[in-house]
Amino acid sequence: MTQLIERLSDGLTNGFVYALIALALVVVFKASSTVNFAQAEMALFTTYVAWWMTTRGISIWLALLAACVVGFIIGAAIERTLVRPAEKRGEMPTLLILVALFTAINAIDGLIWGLEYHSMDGLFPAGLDDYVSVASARIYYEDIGVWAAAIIALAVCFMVINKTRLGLLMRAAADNPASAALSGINVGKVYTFGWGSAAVIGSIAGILIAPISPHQLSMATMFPVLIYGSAAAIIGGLNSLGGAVVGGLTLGLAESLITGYVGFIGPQLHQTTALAVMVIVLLVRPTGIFGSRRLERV
Amino acid sequence: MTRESTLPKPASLPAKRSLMRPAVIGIVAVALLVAGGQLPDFRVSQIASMLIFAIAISGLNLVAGYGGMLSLGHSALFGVGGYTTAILISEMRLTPLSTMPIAIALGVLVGALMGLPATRVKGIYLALVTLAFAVAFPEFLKRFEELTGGAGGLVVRSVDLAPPAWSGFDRFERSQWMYWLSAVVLVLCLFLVRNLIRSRRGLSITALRDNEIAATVCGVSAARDRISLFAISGGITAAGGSLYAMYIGALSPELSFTVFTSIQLITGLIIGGVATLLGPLAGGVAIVIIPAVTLDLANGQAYGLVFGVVLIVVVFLLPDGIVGRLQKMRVFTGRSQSAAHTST
Amino acid sequence: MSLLSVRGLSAGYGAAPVIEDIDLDVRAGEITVILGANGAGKTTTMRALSGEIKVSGSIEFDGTQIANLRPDQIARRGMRVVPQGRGTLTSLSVRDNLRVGASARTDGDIERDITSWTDRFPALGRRIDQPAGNLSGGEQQMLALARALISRPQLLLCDEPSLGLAPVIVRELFAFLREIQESLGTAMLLVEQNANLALNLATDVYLLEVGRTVAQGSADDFINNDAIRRAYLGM
Repeated sequence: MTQLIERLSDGLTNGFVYALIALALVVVFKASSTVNFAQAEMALFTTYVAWWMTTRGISIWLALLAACVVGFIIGAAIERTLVRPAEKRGEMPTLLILVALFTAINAIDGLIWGLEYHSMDGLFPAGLDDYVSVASARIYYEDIGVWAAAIIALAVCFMVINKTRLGLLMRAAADNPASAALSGINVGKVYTFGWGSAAVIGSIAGILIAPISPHQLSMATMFPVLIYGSAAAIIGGLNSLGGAVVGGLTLGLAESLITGYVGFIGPQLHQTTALAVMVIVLLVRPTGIFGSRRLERV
Repeated sequence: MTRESTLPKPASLPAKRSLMRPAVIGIVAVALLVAGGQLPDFRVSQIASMLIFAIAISGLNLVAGYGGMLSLGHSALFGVGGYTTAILISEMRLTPLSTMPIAIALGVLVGALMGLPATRVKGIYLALVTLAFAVAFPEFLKRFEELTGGAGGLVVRSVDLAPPAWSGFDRFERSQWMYWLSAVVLVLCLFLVRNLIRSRRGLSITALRDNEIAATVCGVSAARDRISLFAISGGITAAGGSLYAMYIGALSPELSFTVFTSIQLITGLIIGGVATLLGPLAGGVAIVIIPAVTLDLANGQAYGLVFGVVLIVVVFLLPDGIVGRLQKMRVFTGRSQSAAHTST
Repeated sequence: MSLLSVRGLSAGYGAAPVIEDIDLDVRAGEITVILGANGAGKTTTMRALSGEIKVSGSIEFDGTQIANLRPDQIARRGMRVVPQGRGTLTSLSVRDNLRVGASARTDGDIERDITSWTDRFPALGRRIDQPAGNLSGGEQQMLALARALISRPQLLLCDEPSLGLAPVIVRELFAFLREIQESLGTAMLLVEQNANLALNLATDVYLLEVGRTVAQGSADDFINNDAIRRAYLGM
């Protein structure tokens, strides 16, 4: 029982981070009908920025803010200067650009900040005694903090998308770009904003996961998060914001339980398992569990 | 990506010319190979690795170039070939050459498996499915540690990799042997690709890429063609992987068989020119030269960045790749149409 | 006075232009119709005017040159399109569709206008919070009109509004267009195959054939000219 609660707590923490990355992927997909392979690496870059600021004595919360700003600028710039021109050439060139960004950004991190693992202070207290006991299981403040932060971030996203004028424009541009443009919406600008926002969500995810990741803060920190995040987005449905959250949480919990209880898979086949589920969902229900019919923009 | 027409041309060339061309190409190729063999040992070895990557890329070219389906999973196919050869040599005591057919057969099998989803999903979704293979492969290596050496990798003793006696090379001439062996396998692979693409099957594959609905209406079986395309592609790339194992002698999951290897192969293909016969050769050269040249930059850490930047630049500025551009400039023959045809 | 003045307009999709050297005027507050058979270039003309395809030639709207502006820029200047296929934002609610239409407005009366439009079209009002994709074809056509009109445009472009609708709904639609023109003074440019109804509604008429204007005049001229009627309108 104790073990189960602790595993669930771990799973939920990872699940929230996956949900954030999946949400970022969905936001991008709604703008550009593509999966941003570089999403997690963009997040890694801004997480490094935040870490670097904390080593200069700046508060982690201020660093988080700065990382979000940098993320927004990078995301918007990538959409405007690389992705949009590539889209005019077709789906394959767009994918190639994103794959190229994936390696290039990762390499840039290594060039600037080195190959070693950095330990990063989290946003929340992470001492040995910072936990609450639930049925003799320890739930650390760190985990609770991640849940709370992710819930707030998700809530803000959903508020912006569903309740604000900006969100209305985003939904319109994603639904029917041609018609949205004829209604006076500058669709390109909305897409640029979408990519920027996705990068902000990614930055938050990066800063939440880096302090507790087995890779700490290093060039390998975000790759698994990309794998789980994209699996979560596909499982939930690439064009469903809610699906991304459900997919992320489900994968996080499943990962932790399967690793704990299914011997064959063990600790090595984590990502394979997530991706196997993704492939099965794609084959059985290509729109994901919550996605709507129209999957490809014609 | 636009390509030259792949329509068969009417048989109007004089017989003399059609015999001349392959003869000339053959002589030039042999001359190049012999000349290449005279270079210093480390050069010969470097060229051998270019040829090996060219083989792997020509496998990828079938799926990504002629088939129009971006695969991020070819690192796994490359790895299947490599690990099969390495394991069979060190565990089963087979000779390196005799492992190749088995490596290829397994590559065909895994390739077909990867092609199965291609019958249902495409584009970005297929890229994700193939990414799953790329990510799963190193995890499987670690899971089945007893066989694969796990994260530590697998080392084949160099005595076991000695050239066979009939080749005339002794065990200190392994570079020379790998050079010739890779060259022969590459020629065979290119020959296979060329004939496949010119066949009826090849025609329906490119038709599927260009307009699936129209092609299926004309009786092309999308499912069968895509699976067989992936299977053959898997076999060719695994052949490259098998040679790579013989060449390098030491395999590790993190160094050679992650998704980054797939990205390298893709970059090579795009640089060389998608859906061109000789593009993979140019690509193989490029992906060996890029890390070599950037080795001095920032402790070798720059090459991931260089790969990314080169890929972006090529996508925007040289979308046909080197070979595709040369074909358009009618470098290979005086007539661009037939040039496009013979090398497509 | 001409609200929209088009001179020497050519446009197309590939190398060969679909429409060539078209001159066209829409007078402020009046209804103009472009007639023509399938493939005459009517929809291409609309797409050229609304900024969806690149053009050569001059398009002057309300005194300024708008040729080759983006669709959203043209829309914000007060020229709105009801596109063929209606352009419904299917996953958005009916209310959000109307809000999108009004998104360029900065005044505070948008919600009140939404109510007045749903009063005018009770079918929309009944499903105000449902996804617009659930509406019937006729209802989506009404929504498309309301989405365009809620922005209070000076000029409304309608691309085959009658397409795919039952005759009774088509008549209702044309009556509504007349009512809008009379009450709000909105100028309209219609593309139609249904010549009969269109001629009754319009004051000025252009006849398009293989990408060129072959005849123009007042609606009365067209109705009374037997030659034109027999040759082009089949009535």
